[in-house]
Amino acid sequence: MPVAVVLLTAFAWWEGARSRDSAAAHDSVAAMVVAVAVAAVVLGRGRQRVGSADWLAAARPRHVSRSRYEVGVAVWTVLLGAVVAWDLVSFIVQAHALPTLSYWIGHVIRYRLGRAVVFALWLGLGLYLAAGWRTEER
Amino acid sequence: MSGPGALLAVVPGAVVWSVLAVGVVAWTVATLLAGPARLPGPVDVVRFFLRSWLGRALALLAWAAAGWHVFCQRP
Repeated sequence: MPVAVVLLTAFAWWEGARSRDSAAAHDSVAAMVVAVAVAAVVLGRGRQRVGSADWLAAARPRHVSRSRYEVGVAVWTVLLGAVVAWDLVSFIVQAHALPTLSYWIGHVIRYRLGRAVVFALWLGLGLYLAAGWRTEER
Repeated sequence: MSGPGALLAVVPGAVVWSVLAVGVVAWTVATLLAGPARLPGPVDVVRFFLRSWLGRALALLAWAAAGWHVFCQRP
């Protein structure tokens, strides 16, 4: 585990020095997407909690009461929907007065450290999406 | 004044983003402080997508598209 963390940190630091237009950046991001997709399939075979047909049914976690679950779903839907909608509007309008979310992220990843940190967070999220929240048994 | 600070002070889009950011942070804190039968938090939102192959695939697609856009395209 510590070796993997060191390797991923070194990789993120290397990625931090790449520009968005470089072939190395394109290749490394594409390679990570493929690697995470393969990991999701290999690690998840037979270990998914519910079938896709039953996905939306009984989604409420046991520790959350029904009324609180409904309030939570409503608020999260409004918040995340507003973020997506506003980003879409800003992207379509393409005006200086309406910066997109990626405009703000661009201010961070223009620096090597910022790009490396954001890349590490992105990669960590991808690994969690591939391997996280599985059942213990196949 | 110049740079992102000036933009944050002037343009209306920045005000909207600030309101959205405060809303997400405030609601996240509220879910953490809600008690035993707590409100669903950001981890529950992610885990909702990870319950099935379909949800996990959708989440991975969004993750891949976001990564390509952020690191290889626009910013």
